[in-house]
Parts: sequence; C-alpha cells; structure tokens
Amino acid sequence: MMRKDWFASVLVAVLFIGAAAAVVASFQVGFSTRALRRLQPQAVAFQARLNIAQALLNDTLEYSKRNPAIDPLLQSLNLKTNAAPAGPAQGQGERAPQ
Amino acid sequence: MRRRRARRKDRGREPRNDLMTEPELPGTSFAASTGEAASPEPLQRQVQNLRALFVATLMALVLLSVGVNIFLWYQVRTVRKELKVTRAFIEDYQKNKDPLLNRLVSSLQSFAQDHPDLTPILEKYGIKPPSGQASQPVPAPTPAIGSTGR
Repeated sequence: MMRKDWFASVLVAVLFIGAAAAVVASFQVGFSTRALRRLQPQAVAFQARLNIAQALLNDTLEYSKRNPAIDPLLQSLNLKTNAAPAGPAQGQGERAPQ
Repeated sequence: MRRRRARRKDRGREPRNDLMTEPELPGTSFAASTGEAASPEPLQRQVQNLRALFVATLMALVLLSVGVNIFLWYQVRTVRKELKVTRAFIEDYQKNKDPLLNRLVSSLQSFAQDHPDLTPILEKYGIKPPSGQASQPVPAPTPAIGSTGR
C-alpha cells in the first residue's frame, strides 16, 4: 500500500513538472513567433529589393556587352571581374549581389 | 374502527417506496458506507480499485504531458531556427547588400548622365536619372528600387 502511495506521488510530481515545462515552452513559442512575425515583412521587403536589384544587374551586364564602357564601374563594385573574355565563357565573370 | 386501525398498522409495516431517499443501487446506501451492513473487504477492494484507477489516470496524464512537451519543444526549436535565419538575413542585408545597392544605383545614375542609352534600363526599374549636373548629390536611390518593381 505504501509503495502505491509513493508511486502515485511520483506520478503527480512528474505531472506537475511536465505542466510547468509545457507552460514555459508555450511562452517561448509565443514570444519567438511574435518576434518572427514582426521581422518577416521586413525580410520579405528586402528580398523583393534584392530580386529587383538582381534583375537590374542582369540588364546592366547585358548592356555591358553592347557598351563596355560600363565595365570599370561594375568592376569597381566587384560585380564583374575584369578577366571575362568574350565568347562562350560569357557570364562566368559576373557576380550576383546576393 | 378496528378494521381501520388494523389497516393503519399494516400500512406502517409495509416497506416505503420513497425514490427521493432510497438509493437505486443497494451497495451505495449510507448504511453500507458506514460499515454497519457491509463487510470491510468489499470496501477495501473498492478503495484499491479507485487507487488503481487514479494511478492509471495519472500515468495517462503523464504520457499526454510528455507528448505535449515534445511537440512544444520541437515548435520552439523550429521557430527559433527560423528567427535566427531571418535576423541573420536582415543584418546581412543592412550591413552589406544595402550599401552595395546604393553604390550601384548611384554609379549607374552617374554613368547614365554621359550615356543616355542606359536611361531606359534605369527607368524600367523606377530609377530616375539625376536631373541636374553630375556634381549634384544623388537622391536616395534605394527606395526607388523597391517602390515600383517589375
């Protein structure tokens, strides 16, 4: 009989500890989710800007094939290496900003 | 008169059928619970059954608690990882990408002053070429990138 009482007490203690851990975990999930929700629109906006900038860079690199005068500008920003030969290796010396 | 008295006596001897005071189950009567009518063995068995039921319920609750905790900690880990990635991306953008984009756009604007054939490309992305001379400061180009899109 005493053994059963002891076992039930241990179970109750484990249950209380589990409930406390669940409360702590719930608070952590709540705070982290709120922070993530606050940061995500910013991250989405930055990603959209990066996509647009990537498209602009692609167009600029395409333009640089017609007008190589822009090459020093791109090379100064490390967006294009100066060792890019014309021909089949086109595009290999280009660097994306991402 | 004698007959009436005899009937009243008979009524007093008859077992009363009062549904409000008598329990439906015979084992749960007050007399049984006080130990007057029932022997202690069934009571002890009932207590043991109740204790076993209590322990079984506790074990089920502990199992449920373990499951809930595992799920919650998995959620905590996932959300924290996502938060870390998002913060690193934003920090990297603000520290490295944004200045680079600003320099690229301002350089392209300066270049477009001498090479007007670049202007359509800039206009395609909502970047206005500077209206004044090259010595004038360049308006903030980064908002124009995100303002129109493609």
